[in-house]
Amino acid sequence: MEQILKMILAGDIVREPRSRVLRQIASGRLYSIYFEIRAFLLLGSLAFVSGAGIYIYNNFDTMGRQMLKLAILIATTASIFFVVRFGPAFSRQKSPSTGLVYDANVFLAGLLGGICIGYAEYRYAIYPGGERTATFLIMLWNLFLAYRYDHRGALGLAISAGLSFVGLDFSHANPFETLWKRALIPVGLGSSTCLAMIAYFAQRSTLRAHFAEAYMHSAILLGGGFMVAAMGRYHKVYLLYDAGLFLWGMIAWWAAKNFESTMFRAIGFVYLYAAASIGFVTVFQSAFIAALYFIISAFCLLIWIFKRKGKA
Amino acid sequence: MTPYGSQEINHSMIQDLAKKLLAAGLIESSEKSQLHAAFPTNLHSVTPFLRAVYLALTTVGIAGVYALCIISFRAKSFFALIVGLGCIAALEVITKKYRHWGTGVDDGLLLCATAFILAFCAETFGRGGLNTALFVSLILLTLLSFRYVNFVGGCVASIGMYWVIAYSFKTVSVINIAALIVLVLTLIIEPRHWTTPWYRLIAAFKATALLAFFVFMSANFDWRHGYKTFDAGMSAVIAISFMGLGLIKKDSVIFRSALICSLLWFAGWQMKSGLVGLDLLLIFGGVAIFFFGLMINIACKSPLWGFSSKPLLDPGYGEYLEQLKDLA
Repeated sequence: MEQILKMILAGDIVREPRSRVLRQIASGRLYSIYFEIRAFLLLGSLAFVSGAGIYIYNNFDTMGRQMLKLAILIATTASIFFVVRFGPAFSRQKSPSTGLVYDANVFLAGLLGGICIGYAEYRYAIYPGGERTATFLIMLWNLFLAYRYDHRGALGLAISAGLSFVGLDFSHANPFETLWKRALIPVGLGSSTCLAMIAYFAQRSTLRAHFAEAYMHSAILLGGGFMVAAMGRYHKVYLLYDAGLFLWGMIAWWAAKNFESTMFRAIGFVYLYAAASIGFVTVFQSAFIAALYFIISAFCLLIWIFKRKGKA
Repeated sequence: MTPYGSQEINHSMIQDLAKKLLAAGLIESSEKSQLHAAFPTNLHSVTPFLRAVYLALTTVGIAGVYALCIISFRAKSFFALIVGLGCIAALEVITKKYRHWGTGVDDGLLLCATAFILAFCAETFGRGGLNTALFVSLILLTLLSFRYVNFVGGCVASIGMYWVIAYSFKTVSVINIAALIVLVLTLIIEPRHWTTPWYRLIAAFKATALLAFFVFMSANFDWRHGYKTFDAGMSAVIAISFMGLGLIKKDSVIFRSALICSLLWFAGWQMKSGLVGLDLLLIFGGVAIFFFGLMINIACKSPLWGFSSKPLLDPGYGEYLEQLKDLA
């Protein structure tokens, strides 16, 4: 990049003071390790909490309970103290990033808070609804962190906890047993639809409207994934779920335009093409026609996209 | 050697960078338009997303052509050669006539050409000649990558090289010597190619050589008896040396490879020691990685090290540089 920047600066097109910054970058005296630091902090947090979870599970009856409780409490209190002490003032809109270390600490506070809530249920069974209530509380804790401190990682944890809560609830009693014998499919379909609706309303609200993209991302991944799972489970109505996958592809395509997101466009493209191909191959049941279909569809799509982009 | 001129590729890269600088707020849109006018190019290059889409579609289309041929005529080997050669011919046309560079179509054609020629050679030479088939296709891929200045092909070729050497010789020392030779060669020729189109390709070969050297120096594989040993001391020395080399040369490729090596060393050392289980490995490893990240973040505050904890193309980068100056 430095060499290319030097060429840009040699053209004398970029004016002061912007050219000064570019010249500093082009000098090559500094290089960015932003993504490395971020990866190290998040990877470290995740590894630590996973290790602590496994350790508690393996040594629950043998290790000193007081020591364990103390260690978890100290770590949780320290991370929450850091988050509260150095946190930005509350605003309803997107806040600027406070720093890499702060971001990693909010994530750590979300994970450790979850461990504390889970430990209380596992050890003392203090919640009336058992593990379901514990999972619900973990979701609330992470939602609080996400909305108060504007953290997408905590929102991801909250969504995962919410999905686990719904899954646990349905595993106890499946109200749709006549339609689906296993609870997994209605949970996936229902949750993804709910998440898409939350995304729709979140975008229209004045509180953290930018979280809508994260909700939609989870909805699309979950919806498509469960459609594929349903295709594998219910062979008789195979094409119905294939149509469902196509529908999620359309939703992803709409979301790509709405959020101007390349990721949604990529997912939408994969869903649409996979659904169309599965449908075509299933209907015609011929290797020759399938090969012809792939040749024609691939080359037509290539030419169509090129023409649309004005590059043909 | 290549259908593109160095200037064409440089201008294309300038136009791409101008888009990123505009998105980061480091230049204005009028300046971007001026840059596009001052550095014109007729090469077609696309965003990474579109590149992946074109690559997938091209691969699906070519695989469909091959499937149709073998369904109709059942001559696998012959059609593998025909489709492979057809891909090379198509590659020549789209690069020379339609000026594609890194659009995904050229990547797809290049990879398919290599794969089909590999299939033809494997079918022709039989099971005993798989080494020769791999070797031929790898040489072809390397040559094609350099001819069409193709980064994706270069990455596949640089990884495949060690696989072929391991498969052929089944001796770790030969792989180490090969990795060392590639590493030294890239370090020697890289500075001469800073302004040429092949610079990124050479960087890909360098990164793979570094990782291959680290892995095969620290782990001793015995293919015949199916076991491996791990030398934690050697592994640590290599990881630290790479980190030092990256710092001294201010080379981001070496530094990033060293970071990956240090993570691999830690995991290997813990697993080998057998003193701790997975739970303690994750706890201690997590704490170590977290604090390592913290330490690097603190080190970035000092201008002596030359690291930045902000992305280079960040709107607040100018402000960040001013802060560093104040600290200095």
